[in-house]
Amino acid sequence: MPRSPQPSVPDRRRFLKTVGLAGLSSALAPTVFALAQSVTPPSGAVPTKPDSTAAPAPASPPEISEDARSLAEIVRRRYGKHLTPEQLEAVTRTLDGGVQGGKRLRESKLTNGDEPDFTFHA
Amino acid sequence: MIDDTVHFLPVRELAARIRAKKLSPVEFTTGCLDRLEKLGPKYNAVVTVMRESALAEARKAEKEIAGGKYKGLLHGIPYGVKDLVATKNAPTTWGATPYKDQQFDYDATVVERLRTAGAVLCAKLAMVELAGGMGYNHADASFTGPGLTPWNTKFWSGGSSSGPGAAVAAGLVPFAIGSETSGSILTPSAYSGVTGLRPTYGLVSRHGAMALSWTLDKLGPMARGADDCAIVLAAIAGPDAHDESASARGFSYERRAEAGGKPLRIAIPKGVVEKVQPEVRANFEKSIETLKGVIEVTRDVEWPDLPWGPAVSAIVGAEGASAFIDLIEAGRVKELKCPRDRHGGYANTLIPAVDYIQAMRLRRPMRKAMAKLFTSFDAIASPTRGTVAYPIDKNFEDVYPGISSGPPIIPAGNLCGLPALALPNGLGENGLPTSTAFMGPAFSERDLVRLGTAYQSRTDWHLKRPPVA
Repeated sequence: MPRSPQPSVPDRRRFLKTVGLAGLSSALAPTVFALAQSVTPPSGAVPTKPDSTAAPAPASPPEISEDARSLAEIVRRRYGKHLTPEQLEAVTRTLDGGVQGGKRLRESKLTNGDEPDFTFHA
Repeated sequence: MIDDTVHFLPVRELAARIRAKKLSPVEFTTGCLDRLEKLGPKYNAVVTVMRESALAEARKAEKEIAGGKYKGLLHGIPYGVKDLVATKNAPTTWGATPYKDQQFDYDATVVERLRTAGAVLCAKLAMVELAGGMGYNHADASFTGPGLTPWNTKFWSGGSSSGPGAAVAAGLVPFAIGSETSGSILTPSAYSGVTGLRPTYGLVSRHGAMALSWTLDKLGPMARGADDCAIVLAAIAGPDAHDESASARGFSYERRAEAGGKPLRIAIPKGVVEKVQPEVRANFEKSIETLKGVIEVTRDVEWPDLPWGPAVSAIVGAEGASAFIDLIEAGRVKELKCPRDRHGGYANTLIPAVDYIQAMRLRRPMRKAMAKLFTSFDAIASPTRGTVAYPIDKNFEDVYPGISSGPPIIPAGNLCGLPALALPNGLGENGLPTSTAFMGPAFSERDLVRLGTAYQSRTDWHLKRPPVA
């Protein structure tokens, strides 16, 4: 398969859409996010040589949200002794994916009567 | 000495030979054990070979059959289980170093049921550590090494049921039990070129199986063909006092002649083939063409626009973090093989309860949306995966750029507890298998098997042998 010359990083909207589309089933949640973040556009969409008129603007990595940074601080306090700085940075990126995913979940219209899909038995 | 070809026969053919006393369960079991020991390491497919107990079970089966007590199609048939299924005769490692010496003093319900059916348990099969619950992004994510597909050992056998996929593909066992939380039966079935059936949530008891996500986990068969999967499913399905989620419905199965019956209405969702690998697309189209007369196809069906990905991520993340909270908090995830697994769990400990509940609330409208789709269609067809297997030397995110499978069918099916059947349908890049999947409404396994047997009666991809040494 043709490969794009360099991986591009999707913006947030594309990222969230991709999370939904990735279908990376076997590798579970965090990998879904991880893969979604690195999915490139279809190979035809990325020019193989510079073309000033057609080439998309260089994509910049999405900034990590303040919420994710704050959550990462909790992880550092609780589990910092188990994590290297690089691992903590990776955790922060995963947290950011979760923050964005949570926003998407809360955007979905639910009514007060929509119960969780499990039943408690007394 | 049993001819190699016997190891690639479907269960029904093996059963006919065993019943006619043309194939000895003891000899056949011995052949499987030898292959598991000799070839298993070549594919990193096996954790424990259970020679002693398997031979005892095979001798018992042979004696019963000789005495006229034939139990059915699985009597005397060897098999393996993914190593997250508890057995009292061998360690149950969950694929992970921290559990490599773990012992249970009971057998999981599926093992008990298969024993009752007369099947012979030969091996605990390799798997991705903790069934992938810590977020692996590389094939080398098990203490037994990366599962290798027998079609080309530079590539992965899929996960997280890596061992069942490779073991069935290489003819080490005629069938195996895998598990799926979100894709872990379908993916290794596709990458290993075998047939896999993900049952409806609750159809098969999970008592004795490692929990990753209580509301998503399912056990199911991986085998040579759809008929085999149905035979195994009939033996393992049904209620279980040890598992409250187990449905009372059960599953009975008799192979039907293909003729007769209305064509099944098949939806092909918009976007499932546009951005997959060319060979995947071509083989999928050929599969659909092959089923002409059995199916009526509607293309470009709109997929319900719901947050499938974020929902499955929140649920698996939160339930998985809870299931392994002791391991995470003790820092023992650092003993896991895949670097990502060593830190993946920490973020999941902070998934807000509200996000989890929101995802669980969304599962009702999600089920409604899928039910609505199934008022017009009997099943949904798509390539099982958009690519062939990943190479074992790269992170998943670094291969196959630009490929997309389109709508999130696997997450949706798992969130809604729906059954699906993966069928090998050809070869793609690097001589690796491709696969077609059919997904139906809850408890529609019979229709899916009908589709599978119809396809496999017209093709022989399920009988193709990889270049096993």
